[in-house]
Parts: sequence; structure tokens; C-alpha cells
Amino acid sequence: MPITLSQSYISALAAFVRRPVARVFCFSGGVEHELSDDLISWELERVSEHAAGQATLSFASPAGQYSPGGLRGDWLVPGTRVWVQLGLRTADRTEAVTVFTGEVEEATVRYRRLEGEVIDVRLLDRAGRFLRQQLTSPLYVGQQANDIVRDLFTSFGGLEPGEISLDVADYIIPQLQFVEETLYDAGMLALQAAGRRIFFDATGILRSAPLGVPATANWELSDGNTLLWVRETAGKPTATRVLVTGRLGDPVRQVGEETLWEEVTASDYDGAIMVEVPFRPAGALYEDIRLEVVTELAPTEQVALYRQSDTGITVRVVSPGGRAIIFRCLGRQVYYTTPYVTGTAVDAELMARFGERSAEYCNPAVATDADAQALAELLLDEARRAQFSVELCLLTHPGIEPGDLLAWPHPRTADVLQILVMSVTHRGGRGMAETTRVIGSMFNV
Amino acid sequence: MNHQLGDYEYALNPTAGSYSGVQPALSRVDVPTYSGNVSLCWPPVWGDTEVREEWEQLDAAQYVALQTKYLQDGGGALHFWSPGDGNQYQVEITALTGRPYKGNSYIGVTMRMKVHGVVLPA
Repeated sequence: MPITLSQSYISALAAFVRRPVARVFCFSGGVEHELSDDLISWELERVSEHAAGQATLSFASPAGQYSPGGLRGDWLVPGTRVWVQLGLRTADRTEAVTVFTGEVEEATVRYRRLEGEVIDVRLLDRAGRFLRQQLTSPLYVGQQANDIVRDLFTSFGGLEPGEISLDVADYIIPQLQFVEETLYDAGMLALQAAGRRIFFDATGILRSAPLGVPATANWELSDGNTLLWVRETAGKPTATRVLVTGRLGDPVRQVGEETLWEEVTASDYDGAIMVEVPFRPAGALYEDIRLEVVTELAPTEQVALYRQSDTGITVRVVSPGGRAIIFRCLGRQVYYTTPYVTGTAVDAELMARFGERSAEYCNPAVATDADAQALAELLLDEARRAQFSVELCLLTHPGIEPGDLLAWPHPRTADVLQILVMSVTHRGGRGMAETTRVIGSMFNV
Repeated sequence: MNHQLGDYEYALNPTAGSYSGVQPALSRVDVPTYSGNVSLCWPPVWGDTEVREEWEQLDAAQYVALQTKYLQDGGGALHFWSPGDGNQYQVEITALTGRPYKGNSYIGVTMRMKVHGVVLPA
């Protein structure tokens, strides 16, 4: 669910005079604590790519209260859950929304003579943990993609059911097992097959959203009172051809050309012998087996196929004189292929301009060629959009999230450009110009 | 009414013009946008409020009393301070300077205090 702001908040965001508020909370020892009064500065980054959001917070630590052994020495230890709210004070109230939730990864205390003690805390959002946690999952057969993701994150990730809120995705995955895969990757692959992406929202809830571009803009930016600066970059697409490989299809039986697979000499026998000839190479299987006798046979001599099994044949050789007889075994080898489902998307125009730039994705959750094709088209769209990137610096806008679509009237041309947000970074501190840096891709240039 | 610092009542208040008073300052910053200029404003922070008291000449007893408060606990001690404006503040003495004069007084005395908050009406 995207961050929503009340109408009064949106009005306050457009005012010429704003009164920013930043709040920080942690959950330690089973109790929620507020640390806002000691907050010095913050930098909070969330990304839509396959990476964890991260944040750095600095707090004043008078008398070493946040240091080990201090009064609040256990408030910011690694593993502690911390969340940050940014907001504005309006005439009659303060409105703030949660923009980042993460866990303390590292805490560093710095102090110098004649200066106050400061503690810097680095946070990773919840994706950070699950990007490192590997698992081997059970074999899921005929299950919904959402159900698989729910099971993965509750069974292996320890999330409560209330911490998972996935959009409806009626996508059945015929058969899927993850072996030594990271938990986040496993969830991503399962939902990617359904044309969706997973992410942890600002409050730490696992959610899903359609891959690609939202149908309508989430936010409209105005340059008059929100925009500090802009940087636009035109580059190459990251791919001009995208291949998606999905799950293994049903095995297909195939038969090769006739080949000679063994030559045998039968000798040292008395009148008749049964010769066991195993298939070669070991494990091979032949059909339409034919024997070709090299030694010229007398009328009383005989070489005949007596029996065939999965591992070889038995040949009956009859020669009253026990003569050495050479014969060859021929047959057509039987083998089975297990093809992948695949889809390929190509942008001929971009390929003519930039040459072949291939990107290949393997996702065993993709069930059919049509699904692989649809996913390849989505990923090619993403590669196309990478041609035009834009970096905006705004006055703090806590509503913007990775994956949002921004409508932005270009200050020079007044054309309304659409920007798909790839990353959002909120920066600020006491007495600083609090900003939101947005990096996105433009696709209606 | 004489100022009171902890359990010590000043024998001599700073003279007129030698006392800054308690004046909390707003914190604000101007942010130029693409086609405008926005003000970001924060409420006053008590810790940013500094109080200065000066005396041309002070009895050694009062100077020593102030110095004792200044040096208490190795510095950084918080004291209740009532300047007679109807409020009581919690303050930290951040500096005390003065030159000894004729053995029983100090001249050019300046004391700076950082206000950490209003405690309660005096």
C-alpha cells in the first residue's frame, strides 16, 4: 500500500513556510522508546531494485547514554527495530508518516575532547536480513505464487501473518523448489512469474505490486515550491534483447539415428553360447536393435537376438565347431530431453542503434512460454526506460516511494514528464534544508 | 529581587545592560527552490539559548560562590536558576571569567550559562 497523505498534509507540503518534524522510535526490551530529542541527522534510502533499503541516523549521546553501560545502552544495539517518521506541524496539529523501518546493523560511538558524544547508527530494512538468509524449501506442487511466498516468509523468515500483505495474484506454479536460494530471491522469483515484485514497505510489511509502470501518477510535482534541482542523463538501454527461461517442461522422448554401439567376438564355446552384451555407453538405451554378422556363417551356424532388456541384449550364437564369430550390435539410441519454457523480447529499433545487448533471466517459477514471453516484455520495458534517468532533489516529500509514478512538468518545456521512481533518499537534520532525492527513469521523453 | 543560582542568592545582580536575559531563538533556514524560496522553521530549542551575566566588579565571596557552582562535579552540573522574571530555569554554567583585584574582589567578571529548559514557575 503506498504511503498516503491527508489533504491538510498535502496543503502544508505546498506552503511557503513549513515546519518540519522528525521522530525516531525504537523497540527495545519489549518497550517502545522515542529518541527524537537526541536526533541530530538522518539519511534514509529505499530502493525498488534487488537491494535492501538502508539508513544512517546520528544521535547526541550526552554522558554516553547510548553507549554500552549508558542509561540507554541497550536502545540502539544491533538487531533493534527502529522506525523514522517525517512530518509537518500545521496550525493545529502535527502530522507525520513512517518513512523507514529497519533494524540496527551497526552502531558507532564517536567522541572527542571538548565535544559531545555522538552515536551513528546504520540500519538495514527487513530485506537486508532476507537477502542474506539462505534456504532449501519444500517442493511446492500446484500452489498459488502468493501462498508460496507467504509460506516461505513465515516458515523460514519468522514473519507473522499480519506482517505480510500481498495483492491478489492468481498464479498457479506447477512445481517449484528452491535449493540454497536466499529467502528474498525465492519470494521475488515466485511473484515475478506472476508479473509482480515484492518489497518491504516503509512500515516493514511485506507487500507486492505489479511489475512495470502504475497506470496513473501517484504524485504531481510542482517546481515552484518543491524542486531544488534536477539532473537528467541520457544513456544506453541496459538490454535490447531479453530472454526469460522458465521451468523445465515435460520430458520428450526422442530417438536418434542407427549407430554401432558394440562389436563382439564369441569364442571358446562348445556348440552354442548365450552372449550378454550390455548397452554402451552405460545407461544408454537402444531400440530397433539389429545384429550384423561380420564373420561369414556356415549353413549350420547362427547368430540371433535372443532377449532385450533395459540394460543390454542377449545374443544366441550357434556354431557346431565352436568357431570364433564376430558380430556387431547396432541400434537407435533413445533419449529424453527436458526443454525449458522460454520467452524472448527484442526491440529491433534499439538493436539497430545499439547492437545486441542481451539480458538473460532464469526463473523456475515461470510456468508457460506465454508467461515467459510476458515477463520478457516487462523486463525489456525496464531496460528501455534505463535510457533516460533523472535525479530530482525536492524539499522533503515523505509520500514518495520506490515504484511510484511521478508527474513532473518540466520547468523549461512545461511538458509533463513521467518518472518511475527507482530510489528515494530522505536527508535532513536539525536546522538543515531537509530534502528528498529521487532517482528514476523517464519513459515518455 | 536578586537572582538565585541553586542555593545561592546573588549578593549583587548584574548591572543594567550587563545581563542578556533569557531569549530563546527560533531555528530556521531558507531553501531556494527552482522558482521560489521556502522557509523551514523549527520551534526554539532551549539548549541553543545562552544567557550572559556581567559585572564590572564583584566581591570575592560571590565570585567564589559562582566558581564553586561552575566547577561542581568537574563541570557540566545542572542548576536551578531564577533570574526574577517569574520563571525558573535549569542551566549549565559554561564559562566563568574574571580578574582578581586588590585581593578581595574580581573585575571584568562574565558568566555564561546554557539553558536546558524551563522547570516550573518560580
